Amino acid sequence: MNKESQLYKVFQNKLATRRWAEFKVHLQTLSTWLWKGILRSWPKAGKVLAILLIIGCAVVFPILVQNSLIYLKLYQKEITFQQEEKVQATKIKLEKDVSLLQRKLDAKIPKGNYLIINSASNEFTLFKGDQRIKKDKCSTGSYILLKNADEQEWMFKTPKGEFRIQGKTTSPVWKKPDWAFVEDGLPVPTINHESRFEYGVLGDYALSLGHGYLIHGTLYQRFLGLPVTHGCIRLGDENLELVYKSLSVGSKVYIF
Amino acid sequence: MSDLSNHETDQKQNINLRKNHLSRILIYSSALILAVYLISIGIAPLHKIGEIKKMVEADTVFIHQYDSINDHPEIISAIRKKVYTAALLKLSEMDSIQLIVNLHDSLVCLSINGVQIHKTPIQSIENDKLLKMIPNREYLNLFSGPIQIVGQNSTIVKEPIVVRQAPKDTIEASLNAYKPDTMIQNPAFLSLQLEHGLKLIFEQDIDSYPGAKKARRIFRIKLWLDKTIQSLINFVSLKKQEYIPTLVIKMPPDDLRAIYRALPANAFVVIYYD
Repeated sequence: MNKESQLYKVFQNKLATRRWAEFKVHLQTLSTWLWKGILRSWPKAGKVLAILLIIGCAVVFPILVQNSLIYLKLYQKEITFQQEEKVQATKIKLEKDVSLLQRKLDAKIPKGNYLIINSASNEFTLFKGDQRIKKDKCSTGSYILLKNADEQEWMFKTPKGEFRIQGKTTSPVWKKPDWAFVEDGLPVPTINHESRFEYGVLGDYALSLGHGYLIHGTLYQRFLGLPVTHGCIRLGDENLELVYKSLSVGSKVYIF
Repeated sequence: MSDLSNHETDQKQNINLRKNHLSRILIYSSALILAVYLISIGIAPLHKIGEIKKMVEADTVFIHQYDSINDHPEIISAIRKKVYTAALLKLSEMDSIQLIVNLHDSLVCLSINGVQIHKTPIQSIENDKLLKMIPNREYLNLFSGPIQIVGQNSTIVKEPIVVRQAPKDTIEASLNAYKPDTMIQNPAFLSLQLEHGLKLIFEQDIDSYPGAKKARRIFRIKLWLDKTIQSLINFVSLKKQEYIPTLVIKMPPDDLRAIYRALPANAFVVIYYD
């Protein structure tokens, strides 16, 4: 242990002793204050007590907390200084470890294009690696819980998490599910009834996320940026084309 | 006659003396109780650090492997960075959305499978004195991995669900056509209770929305009330006072809302600071 380290250790010890002394002085002051302030001025006790309660909450409490935290410093383990070379070697090793870990983390970021959907602000961001290609409005689930007389329920929310593009189609046809008829006050037709098929309502392209959730276009461009969908993600025409061309089957989509 | 009045006066004086005596005792004991209560609250951080130390010392593998060189001022920053990166790697193995609080770079991020899907700059930070002063060994053990969020409270709803009854026919459907959300939002304040008795509070910028100041006041009063009631209960039941190290972070309201709504129940958080 060199002279400088020894001096530092002595300094640390002195500092700790001084803090302990300061803490004791604070305690003494507090007890004197309590004794003089409360016990001897008992005729005005009601007022004193009320003031004490207020001061107790507003002043004494933080002081006590502060003092106990100063005392806490005494718990700090004494630093044992090693030789400077060991310190430098450890530092270099740590930096290497960090860069190795960072590389492992970076490997988790998709290399190709991927899409991030913010369902709270109804925005999407298209990325390539860590480079942002496009950020714009979209529409996500409305959080409407639709109930019918038969006690059936449908929740219109966009799922959150990591997804992959399962399939891509051009000029998609919407096969209306049951809730689309229930929502319009219409009787639910048979599973392949012609009234279930609607053309042109999903825009020029659709990308499937699985479980019936799609990224598609919309006729209601004015609602972009608002939570109005039945769980799917709606994009404007230009953005839909860009996303369709940028993402391939297997590309990742992150929704939060 | 005068004897009688003297006797009455003496009796009154005695009663007054007794009353004064009683009130003195009452005041002394109240003051004593109050002093004990305040002291018990004041030393609560000591109990907390004691608990943390005990928890760390119980981790024999960690203690055995711990090198005292980690306490060297030149090493502290580097070792904390390594612990943080390792914690991020552990977090990346979880397949739901998780939280990252990086006070070093003033960032709060959402992450899923190692991809940081949302980053928001921190506007201001109030770090707890205990967390700032915590010895490095305790820091490294406490923040070496993701910490579970065990409770969430907020001024906004997690899922803004609107219940609608299905219309009976097309006429009713056209009358009740859905009007989209106007995006008018309530002020957002969020409190996350973490493992190891830590707390994270997220507050929105109070100038962003009308009524945000009032909402923050109510939110803080509620937190303070909860804390005070709990400390009174602990005091009455002769339990140790709890000290909850708290980090208060301010950020834009839209980001706060997005983070709260994205976090699943029992999510994990990685915390990093120098």
